[in-house]
Amino acid sequence: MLTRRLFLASTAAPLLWRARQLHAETPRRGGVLVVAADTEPRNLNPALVASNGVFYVASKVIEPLAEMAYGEPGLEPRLALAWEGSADGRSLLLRLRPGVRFHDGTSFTSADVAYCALELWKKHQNLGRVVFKDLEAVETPDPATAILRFSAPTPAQLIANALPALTAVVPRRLFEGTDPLANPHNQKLVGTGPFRFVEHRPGQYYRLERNPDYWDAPKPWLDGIVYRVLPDRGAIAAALESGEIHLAAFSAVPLADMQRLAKLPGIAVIEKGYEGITYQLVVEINHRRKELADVRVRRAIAHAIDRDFVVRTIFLGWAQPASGPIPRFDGRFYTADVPAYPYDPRRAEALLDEAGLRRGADGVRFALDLLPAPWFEQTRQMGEYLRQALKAIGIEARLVVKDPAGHQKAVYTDHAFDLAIGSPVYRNDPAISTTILYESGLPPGVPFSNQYGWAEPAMDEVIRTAARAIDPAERAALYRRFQTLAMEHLPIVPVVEFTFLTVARTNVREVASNPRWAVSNWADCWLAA
Amino acid sequence: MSTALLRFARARAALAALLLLALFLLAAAAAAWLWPIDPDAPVAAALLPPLADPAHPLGTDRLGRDLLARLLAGARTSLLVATGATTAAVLVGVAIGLFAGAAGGLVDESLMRLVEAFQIVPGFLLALALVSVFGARLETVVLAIAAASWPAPARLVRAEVAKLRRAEFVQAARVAGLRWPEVALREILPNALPPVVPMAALTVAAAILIEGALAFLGLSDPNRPSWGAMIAEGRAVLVSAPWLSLLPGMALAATVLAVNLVGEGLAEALAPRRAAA
Repeated sequence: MLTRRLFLASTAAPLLWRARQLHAETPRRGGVLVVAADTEPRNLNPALVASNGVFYVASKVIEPLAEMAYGEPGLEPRLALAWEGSADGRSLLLRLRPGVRFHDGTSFTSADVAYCALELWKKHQNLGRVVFKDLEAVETPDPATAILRFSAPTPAQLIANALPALTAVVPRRLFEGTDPLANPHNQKLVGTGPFRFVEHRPGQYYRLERNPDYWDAPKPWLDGIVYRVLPDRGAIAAALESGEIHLAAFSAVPLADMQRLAKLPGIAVIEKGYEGITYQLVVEINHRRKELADVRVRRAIAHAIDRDFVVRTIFLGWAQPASGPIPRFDGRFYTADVPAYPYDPRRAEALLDEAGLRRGADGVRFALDLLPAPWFEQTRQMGEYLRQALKAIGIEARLVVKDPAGHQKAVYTDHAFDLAIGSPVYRNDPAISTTILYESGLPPGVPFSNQYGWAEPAMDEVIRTAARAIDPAERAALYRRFQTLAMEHLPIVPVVEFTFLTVARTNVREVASNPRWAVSNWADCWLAA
Repeated sequence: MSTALLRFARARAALAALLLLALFLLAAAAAAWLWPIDPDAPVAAALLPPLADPAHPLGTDRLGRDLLARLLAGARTSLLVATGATTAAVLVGVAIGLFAGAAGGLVDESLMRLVEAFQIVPGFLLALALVSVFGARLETVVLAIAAASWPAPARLVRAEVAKLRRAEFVQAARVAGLRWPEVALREILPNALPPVVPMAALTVAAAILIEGALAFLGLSDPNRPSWGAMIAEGRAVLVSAPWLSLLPGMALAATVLAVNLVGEGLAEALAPRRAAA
């Protein structure tokens, strides 16, 4: 349901923003952009760790082969100029950008791509291990051409969709012959990007300076970027108000403060720029628990959740109810034609009765442990809300809150949970980080994957077939089937989909210029006087 | 004259504090009858300011839960944890202090080194470490605070016992043929206890603060509203909804102040009698 408030929030702000941008066209060179950072990842190398916390800083220094873009075809060249898959799906030709140099002065060539693909993305990178698992060899006929060879058919569409997040290129010279995970250049980054890495003072800041040798001259417009480490969310809002920082991405300011900040002169709240990294709020279910192995119980849980309440109260309107595992933004794969579970506590109770789980003398049908992921304010609040929603249908949930590492271990390694609140990311293709939530047979310890003890042959079959389907139309059809199966069996319950908000001083220009702006290179960003 | 005035003022303050504390206790105990709203259920629009709606006089929080109901439930948690931890700490502390003081010698020496080992770690850090290792549940929070609080009563009791060992009535009891354990329990313990009472009150105050701080850091039982956790939750919207942090903060401050004043009053009240004894 689109409430009036949500409508205003989602349309008015970006429109105003656009209007302002149209009037000030010529970019101005100079100025250091100061932004807030709330985490300091230990390994900052995006070729090894594909996560938004890493990208937020590293994407300005180390670039991928291509970046997402609004409109068709959805991709914009970066280090690669063109990519083309063979008809049998066993090879993919990459034409690389010539004349690009790394920050250490050496040339970027196909040898760097070959090394990164085989040694870093395929072997070590959290997402690359899945997408590039069949990558067998990379041929480099000349410095500007690389041909990826696969041992089994691999859809070119999947590789293309994976280019923005999975294909950051670091210089082979600095990594070859070392233990990549212990390489000092995982902290002192060297890449081809518009900004060079200068220093990281732990607990204080990261400093990047302009790369005068950037391939897309005269960009970048900024002289540098400073990431001020501000772990306290209240402090970030105050720093924005006082003008100490220009910008805070990833909803670093509490949602409840957004409305107040949006009204202040000189500050804009921008909703665009995160479509390519849509998150979902889901209820993860441990199917080893016998009550939860019954699909009627899982459906009852889905019927007990008032998605409208979650959108309105927890997300203050900045979210949408999720209908399945793929977000609406991705029109190539999304289908609304799946079983739905509208808010209906009575239906939920009937399903539980039917499953033989009647209310006891104390009104309780059964008790379970609920582990909300501690990383977002919203996942924690969803935990508190779900506890109440389940209480209403006679399920007693006991909240167990752990620190992030402890939570990840409990859910994805030890399986020590009954229900959990998770926040999986959709990354531009269902095969990158979404189907892994549904396929069976994964070893314990793979984070953000099906550690739920759920196995469904029909689902595994669809996922396997789709992974080998070369034809985009066939892929789309298979992933529609995937969504239907996911919502029919409901191994996990998608609740809402959400992206983040950027809060910026109005003199920062070209904010949200692509669908994964916060984790893109910011070469076109500039500061107005 | 000035000392008399001071005493009077102190007594007045202690009396007022006792009244306030009794009020808190009553409110916490009778919350379910006084204000029968589920503190965990969303019952109204989110972020309702205080006094805006008579049905929710103190307003609502981020999820639309009644703040008054949550404050009362938080009082329950605070007082439950504080009294539980203090009882455990005082029992253990008194037992160890009595044993060390009565036994003397090597036993005394080694037990006191143990007490010191606990005392050199700041109590809050010890509780923090214990709760993060054993998980944020009500029982672990109580035990962690107790583990951080027992050394003080242990030292106090041990010192009293060491002093009383040489008192004439103890010697007399010995001469009368009582064995040491009997002497320790029947003669020494009752006389060593009075200074423990005000200290227990101070321990309660400290325990309330430690519980609040742990909860503020997200290390309290998530299934129970807690003042510290409420302050932490409210911090995110401190500018737009300051009451969410201010009200639990005021409740916490008032309770700790009241407990401290009562403790001081008790110390004052007990001191002259001991001098006379």
